[in-house]
Amino acid sequence: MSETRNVIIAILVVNLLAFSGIVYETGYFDDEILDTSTIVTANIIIKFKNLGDNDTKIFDDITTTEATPYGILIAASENSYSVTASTDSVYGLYITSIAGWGDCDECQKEDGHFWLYSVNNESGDVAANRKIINDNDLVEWLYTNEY
Amino acid sequence: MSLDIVVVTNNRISNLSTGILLFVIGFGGRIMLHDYPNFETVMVSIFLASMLLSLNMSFVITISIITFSDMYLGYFGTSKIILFTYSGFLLVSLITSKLKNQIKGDYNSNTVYKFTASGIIFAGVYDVWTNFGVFLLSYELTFENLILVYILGIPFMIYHLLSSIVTFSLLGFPLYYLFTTTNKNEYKIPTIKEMES
Repeated sequence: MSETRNVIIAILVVNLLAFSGIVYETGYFDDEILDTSTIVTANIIIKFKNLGDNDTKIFDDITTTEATPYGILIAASENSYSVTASTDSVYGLYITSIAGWGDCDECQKEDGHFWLYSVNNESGDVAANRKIINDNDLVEWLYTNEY
Repeated sequence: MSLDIVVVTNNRISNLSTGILLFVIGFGGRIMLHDYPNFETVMVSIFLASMLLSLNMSFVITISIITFSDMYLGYFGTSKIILFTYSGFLLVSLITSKLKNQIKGDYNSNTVYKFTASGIIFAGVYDVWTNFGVFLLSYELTFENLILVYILGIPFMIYHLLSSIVTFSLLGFPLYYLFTTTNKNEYKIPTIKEMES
């Protein structure tokens, strides 16, 4: 009986540590304090590593009410290109396709390529709807197999 | 052992049933947890298969789980990285089979810690190997890029290690004892005198 108690305690201890780490790693409690509802005007570039520079899309001075790389991507997309996204990830929202490239029903897909963003040439470290951008920032979306 | 007592020990569950159950846990868990990257039951199923079954059988279970789940999820044959993911799981299976005598233990807290440590180590081995595959397949082959791939992989690796702690302790340890619990029956062999009387 005491051995069973020790086993249960051991399982509880290791799982308490693991779940604490997972909660910290996924930033679960950070979600409540982030305010993205600021109006900003920024620049956005959409690049396709598989297609080359000729297909690069550049949009200057795009205004969005959601000050994130996702917000500026959606704001610039109006009448220009399509965007699909998914929230089926513990890391938060991620972009599945832009302008017909990526994972969507009608999309073309390049082997091993994903959509990644950078802000002022710094790679994104959180989900695209959790990164705050500021006026005149340069947001780059890149369809790439380097991540 | 007493000369006139024979202890007959039978595994509660046959090897075939064990294999099928582990396949279901690995395959089903991967499908159900697909929305949670790096949180999967494949690794622990492969670990248990290697602990409980022969090396050949555990290889069959390993390949079956990842092949069928990849086919179900639409990943099968879509990227060369499966060369590394498949061989990574087979590597885990091979190492577990070779070290199973050191890993297994009695029903006590030390064995819980050994299983947990195994989960951390095997997730680490798998991630180091598959990140190397990402480097080989997707990057220009320079030392700087090799370091970059491993640095970029750190957040995913940490999450995988943490999730392995959960699966190996909450799933692996209890299932191991469920599968290995034995029915011990003692048969008394009568002596010649008893037979004559």
